[in-house]
Amino acid sequence: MNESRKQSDNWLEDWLSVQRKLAEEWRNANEEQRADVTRKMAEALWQGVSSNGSEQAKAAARQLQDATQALLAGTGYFMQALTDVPTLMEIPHRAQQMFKAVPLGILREHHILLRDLVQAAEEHQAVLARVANVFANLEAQAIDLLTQRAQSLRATGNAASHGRALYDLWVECAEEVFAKLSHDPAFIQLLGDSMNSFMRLRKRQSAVLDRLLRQFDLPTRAEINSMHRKLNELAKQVETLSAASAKRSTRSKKSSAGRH
Amino acid sequence: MSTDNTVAEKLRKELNEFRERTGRALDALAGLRDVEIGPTPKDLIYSEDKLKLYRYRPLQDAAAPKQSKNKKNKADARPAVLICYALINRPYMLDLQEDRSVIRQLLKRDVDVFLIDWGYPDGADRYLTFDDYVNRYMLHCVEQVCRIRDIDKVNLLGVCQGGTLSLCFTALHPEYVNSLITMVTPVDFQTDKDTLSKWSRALDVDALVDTLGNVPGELLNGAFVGLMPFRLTSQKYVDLLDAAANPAQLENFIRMEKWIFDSPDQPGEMFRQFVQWCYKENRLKAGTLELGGKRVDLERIKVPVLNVYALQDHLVPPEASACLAQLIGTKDYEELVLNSGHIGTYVSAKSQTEMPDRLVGWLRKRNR
Repeated sequence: MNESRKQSDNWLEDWLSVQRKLAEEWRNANEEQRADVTRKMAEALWQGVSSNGSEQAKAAARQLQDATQALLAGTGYFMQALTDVPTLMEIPHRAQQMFKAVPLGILREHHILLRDLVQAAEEHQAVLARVANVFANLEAQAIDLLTQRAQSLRATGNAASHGRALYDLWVECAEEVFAKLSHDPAFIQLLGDSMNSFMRLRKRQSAVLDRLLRQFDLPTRAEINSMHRKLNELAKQVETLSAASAKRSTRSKKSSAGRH
Repeated sequence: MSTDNTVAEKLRKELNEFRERTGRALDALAGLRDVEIGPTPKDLIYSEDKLKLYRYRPLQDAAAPKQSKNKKNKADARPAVLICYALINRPYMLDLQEDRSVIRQLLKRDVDVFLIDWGYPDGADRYLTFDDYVNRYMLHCVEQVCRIRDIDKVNLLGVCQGGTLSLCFTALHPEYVNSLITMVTPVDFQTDKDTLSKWSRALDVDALVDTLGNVPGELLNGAFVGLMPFRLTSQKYVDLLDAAANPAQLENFIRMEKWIFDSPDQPGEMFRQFVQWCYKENRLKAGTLELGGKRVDLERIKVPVLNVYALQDHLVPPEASACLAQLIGTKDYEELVLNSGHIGTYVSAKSQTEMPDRLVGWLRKRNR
């Protein structure tokens, strides 16, 4: 008994070690090689499971092996996401690949919400990358202008005599470059794009949060907004009615005063 | 080589001094007590939702008990001025500290000062509109001032966006206004130097408001700071190292810093309408702005108008304010042009002397 348990423990460790080796192979493989790796992974997975079993178990394992291979090959990105550690910038793209599959089943609505969220995050990141690029260029231009200014000051005998003067000159140059940029139509459009893409991302985040809150029967922002809208309308109606009533009351006081 | 060594040595020395000054500044900041803001005593005379209407106590009665709300002082000949500040930022900029207080200067010159404090809007205020602010809140405040002072008309003083609201109010309710003073008030929202206006063109304001509801004050802070990012995020704080050696100067800096970043959220619908109708469509100047179903026709403004604006204003360029002269119907129009920035209009040295003298002199001639 102890012997068989020992064997089975060894088997498990061996199997895990094979999985780790294959995962390592996967990480280092290119696209073409990965197809081969998935085949080997599927083989290793089911061979390990069926190694001590009956012929029927082995036959069943072979069928499952073929199915698993197809699954792994067809959803290669899943393997990539599971075996690689994505960088922060890569997560939305990786996640988006995962959600490219058609939403099906009981989690369909959640899948759509998350898919839209990930897409919005990726779009926003792309816009932010453009903004970062523009500011990197701005820095470079500011330094060019600073160099020119410093040189012309030196030529007129007014060179910046200390660090603070140089710093102030740098701020002046940077603001000058920025002032021009801030009126550039392309930059204005980019600023608008960054805000608009951020709003699309926030909207998707709110949708995910709202869905979660509803599941816990907690009030959502949309519900609270409805209440406030209604209250606002009611307040205006009360104001209008009060004003009309006050007018009528004044008129009737005037007319009864007139009678007397 | 020796020159380079000298320069390098100089820079090294300067860097060491910078480090020392930074340390001293941090110590000074850590030892700072809470700064007092808005020191001039005032009484709450009316409130509605988040709005509070204050009346400032005359300076000689600063320690006196609260005045009765129902006291009708028929002998009170002081001009009653109702200040309408912007929704953006807090009105205590007009009463920042004892030696930098436009309100205090008005009180010194025997003006009866009332102030609308719009408060800090929250989710419940999300659906307040431009119409609500002008035809409801402002109207109620004006009615309160008239009731308390037993007068038919007030002298309205609008600051920045508050000036825009005051122009709308005066055009729609001229029967309530004796005179109008606008300070650094945008009228033409699409002048060439108006950076904020250009930035708003590509903004989808509907998406912004539909997503965020109320527009966070922090977002607006970011936009304002972004107009001069290097000065306002870097140089300003390097300058602080010099101010830190002087406790009074340090306190002044902290007071200003508090005001700059103490930004209320903007009610969603009001923000949407203001940006869309004013910044994007320039309706006020075009004469197509409608509030409560009525057109805001600046030509209807026949009361005396004093237009105060600043030549170095990067938030409301002078051209944005100066065009008022061509749009209003009054024959009694004057300008007071200051050589200052937007904020300098209320906190500079001239704002404590020349400006209030001119303002009050102008008011007294027209106070009925």
